[in-house]
Amino acid sequence: MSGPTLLRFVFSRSATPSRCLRNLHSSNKLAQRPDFPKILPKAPGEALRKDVARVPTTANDFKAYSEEDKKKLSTHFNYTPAQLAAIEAGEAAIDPKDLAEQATMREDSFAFEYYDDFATIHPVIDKPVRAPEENYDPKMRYKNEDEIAEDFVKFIEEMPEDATRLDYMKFTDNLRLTVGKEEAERNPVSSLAPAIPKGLESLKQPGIGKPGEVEVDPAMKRLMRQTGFSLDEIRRFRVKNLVVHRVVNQTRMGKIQSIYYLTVAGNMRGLLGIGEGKSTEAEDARRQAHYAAIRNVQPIPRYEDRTIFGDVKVKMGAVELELMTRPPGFGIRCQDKIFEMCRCAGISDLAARVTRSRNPMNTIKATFKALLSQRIPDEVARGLGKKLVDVRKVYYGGNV
Amino acid sequence: MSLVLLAHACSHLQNASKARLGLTSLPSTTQLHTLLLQLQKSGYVNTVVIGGPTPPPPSALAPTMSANPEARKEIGGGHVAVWGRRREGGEVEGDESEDAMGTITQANVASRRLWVGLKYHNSRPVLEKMRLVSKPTRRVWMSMGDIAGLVRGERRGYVDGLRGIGESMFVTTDRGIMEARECVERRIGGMLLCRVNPVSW
Repeated sequence: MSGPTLLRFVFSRSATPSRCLRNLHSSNKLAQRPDFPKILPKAPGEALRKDVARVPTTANDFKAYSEEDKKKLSTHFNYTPAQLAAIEAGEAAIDPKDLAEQATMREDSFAFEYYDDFATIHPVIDKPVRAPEENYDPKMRYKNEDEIAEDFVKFIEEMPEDATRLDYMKFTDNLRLTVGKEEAERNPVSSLAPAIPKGLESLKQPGIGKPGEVEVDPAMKRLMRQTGFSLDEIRRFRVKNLVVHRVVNQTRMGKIQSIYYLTVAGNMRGLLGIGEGKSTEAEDARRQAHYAAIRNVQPIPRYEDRTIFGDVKVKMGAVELELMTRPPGFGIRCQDKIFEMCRCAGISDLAARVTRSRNPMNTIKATFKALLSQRIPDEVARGLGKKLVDVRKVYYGGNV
Repeated sequence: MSLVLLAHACSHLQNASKARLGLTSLPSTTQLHTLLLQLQKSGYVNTVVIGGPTPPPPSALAPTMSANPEARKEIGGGHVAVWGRRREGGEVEGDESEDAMGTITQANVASRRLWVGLKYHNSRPVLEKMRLVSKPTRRVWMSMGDIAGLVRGERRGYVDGLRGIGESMFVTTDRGIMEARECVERRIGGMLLCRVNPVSW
């Protein structure tokens, strides 16, 4: 092989592997998927909207005026002969066949799937029609009392003899309140977007949003009254049953067992509560704990809505735990109970260490106590008589 | 220099804060005095006054009533009232009738005490915790680089970083006792004395 041939061979290879053009083996060629789906032309009779029966328009639908029609036009509608002549000229100029072809609904693949002749401009959907900028008058000002009084005097002077209330209403409607260009008041320039029309009742889903119809059990009603939360707010709370177990009371009648629930509830925006419930019925215990947790919610201080202020150490029973503040994006790296509590409270960056006992109930109570016993830097700084500036807010221009 | 007195002072200040005392006294030594003045500069205590075995008069303790504005300015612009402090001219500031209580002489130096006004905010002590870092049996010295790490909240050696809210550490250097952050600012190392925390954990 000579040198130039080899070079050409090397440089002629494209960067992407080329498609195999020749069958190198006898088996059937694998079906290759096309790059784009094939668009088949629609059959002419096939309607886009299946629910609407379309009747094709023909030239016979556009009939010429008969002699009777023309007589009616002149007698009933007072058309002048000149107008009638114009109508006739127009009819003669336009072929009914063209009308039948052009004034029909489109059936092609680019046709719109809704009916609109696009004759009216909808300010929200279409590009709004704005008043020209020449309408702006920098010298425009409101009329003072004298000028308005002058207008009234003028109205009374020019008032016809038999003035009615209608005259006065016309006057008040057309009364200008400003001095300057008239267009500046009547049709002012505005760069505001048009408001979204109200009363779109059809958008509302049926069966939703009538508070009177919702059945609320008495316990929930009491909870709403006690806490001041609405039903919606209570439903939006994130609720987790963290501890469930059976407890037994030994009496002389025998063993009486109940179910114990420990539940946390939070709105994921800084409110957190824990609640306990105990009953012979599991469902009852669960609801007791749930409602107690919501009744017990307290605001948790959060730094930048994501972590706690400084490290916190707390002891509850034999549980000793430490919650540690962490940088953005760290996540919640701790055991499951504390993790769930952080999720409920809306804390996303935190580390925790539980030492000595790890009793689940006391861990949860200790975590709640720890989150509530945070010291706020501003408060501490005030005690020390120092001025405190959060440099994170300074360095990142408040975008933290 | 012994750290035993300092250890006792740490415990005593903690106990006094827990008992919600407004005024307490410590033995008068130069080390304690300079440390307390630093504590005052950092805002942990209200007043530091050298007095006799009985508490000094309220006029001497009230920071705003200090007769000498220079004395107030002298340490960090904080509220400083030094009772019976000698000025350059050798004359003694303060009322002549209380002079015996305020003046330090060779005869009364042994009976002098440091009177410390404690601070409270929102019905909580401002100084809740004070612990030795160097122990009498084990001193800890650190270079400026390591102290900078502590100030950033990192653990260096066996010493935890200053991660608490409003926590400070005091370091004794060849330029006197100062706060760890000031050490870093002035680029000097020294022996770690104690750490002070406005929060009890």
